[in-house]
Amino acid sequence: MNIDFHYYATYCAALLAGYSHEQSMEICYSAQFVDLCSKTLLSKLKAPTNAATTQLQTELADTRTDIIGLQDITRIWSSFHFLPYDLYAVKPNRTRAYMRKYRLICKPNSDLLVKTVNLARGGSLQHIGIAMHILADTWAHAYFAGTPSLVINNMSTEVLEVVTDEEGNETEQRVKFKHTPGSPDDIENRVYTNTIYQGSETSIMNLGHGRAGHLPDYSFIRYTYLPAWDDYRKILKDNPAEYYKAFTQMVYALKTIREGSEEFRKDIYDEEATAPYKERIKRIISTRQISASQDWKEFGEELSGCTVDDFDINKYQDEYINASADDKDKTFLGRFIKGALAQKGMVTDSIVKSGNPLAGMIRFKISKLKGALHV
Amino acid sequence: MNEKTQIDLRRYQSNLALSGMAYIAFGIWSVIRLIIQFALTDLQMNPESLELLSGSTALFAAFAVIVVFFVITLTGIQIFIGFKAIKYARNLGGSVILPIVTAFLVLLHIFGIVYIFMAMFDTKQDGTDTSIAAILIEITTLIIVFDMMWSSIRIKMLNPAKEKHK
Repeated sequence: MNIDFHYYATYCAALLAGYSHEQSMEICYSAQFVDLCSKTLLSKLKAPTNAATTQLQTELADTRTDIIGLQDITRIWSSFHFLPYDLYAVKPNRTRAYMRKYRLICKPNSDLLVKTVNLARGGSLQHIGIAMHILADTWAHAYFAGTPSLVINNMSTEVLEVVTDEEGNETEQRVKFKHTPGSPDDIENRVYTNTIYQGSETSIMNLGHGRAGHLPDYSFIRYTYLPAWDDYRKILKDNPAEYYKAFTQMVYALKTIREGSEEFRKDIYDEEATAPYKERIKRIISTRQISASQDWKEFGEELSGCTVDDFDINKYQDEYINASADDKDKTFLGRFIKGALAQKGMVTDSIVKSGNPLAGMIRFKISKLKGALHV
Repeated sequence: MNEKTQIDLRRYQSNLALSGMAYIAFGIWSVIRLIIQFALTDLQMNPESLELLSGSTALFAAFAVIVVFFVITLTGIQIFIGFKAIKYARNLGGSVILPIVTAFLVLLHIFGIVYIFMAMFDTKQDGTDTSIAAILIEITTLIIVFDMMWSSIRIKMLNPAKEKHK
């Protein structure tokens, strides 16, 4: 998902879950920051680089794709953007190497998602924001894996957008792909950017949803395609419906965390809190535009009566840089880093425990401080 | 059309398109191999013919032209069939001709393999290593052509009335 959902929509969801404006701002800032907290940024802040929650394109271009590099990539992307659905999935007549990647496929409502949200209970608002980012991405990034893999993440070149006309008739229009990341997508003419085909199994081009470009991150689009892993079965990706589910599930998750009375469970959506705004939310999601930030922002400001600041990556950096070594954990970014380390440790440990070496070969123990990792 | 039929149809269409591309690649390889043979090695032929041709430059040149023409024609046919297969796989045309032609090619390649085997045991000719390489290429091509034939037949059976996508 993009900033419109991770920042502004998360803000709206936090408000609907009962958080104050200030708390919602911290949550949504953290949710969006997951897409920006790279090793480059952490190095600049002199912060622990193993807390990175993303990798920049320039970092990926330089990344080695031997087992060490692949483990590093998989740890980051599987922990924060492509949470695996079933680490013990079974598929007949497949090699062990294939199954290791197949088991990293992301889908919503996984056991790991339950662990993710419940791990954030009692934690900082920053940790909650991280959990919300991950929750939202399980919907948008479904059917892709957070590891470079041609046999999992590749897809057919024939992607058809399902278009509904004013009379309600559905037709399928072919989507065209180009490989010019510098130029914006032309959503009116259905011309989108995706990564170039690379026959190498572990090429970075085959990481996550690169082969689908930004299609999973556009809330308005419905499309069909053939994923490489599904044996010629066609998948219909109904983003408007799934984004709405992501939103209502976020509201439910945030409520369980805030109220603390019950643990988060999968397949539950808070339709009650969102009911008065259902049409508005669906309209925002369904509007054909590259970014729905303005719409979500207006909605959020109406809900809270307060101004929603635009996202500023530099907002909390000075606080962290200027803090003493003992006080760094108490800063905004310090709490974010602790939450990120806890999340990464939990997911990596789960993957390693399942016998899958793609995220590492050593199990982590998460200390009570929810940030210090002990091997 | 139920889901299993659709899945099978996509599988065979994908196979057919891939086989078509592979057949084109092998056709192009034939031309490249011929160029390499002319440039680097003597043509493999029986000693009597070589003795006859080596005595006359004009005759040798004519022979070379015939060989080149023959190979290029065959390559052209291979490329044509490969493109037909790809078109058929993508629902862009093609008909019952493709299965028939590919069935004929299967037989042709089987004869080719048999011929090379027999030539290997012919004491007058030399070059067991090249024969083995030739057999491997022929077997690979046979598999490709067989896959094209089988996939085109299955597509015809699964989808008698083809639809065109926009």
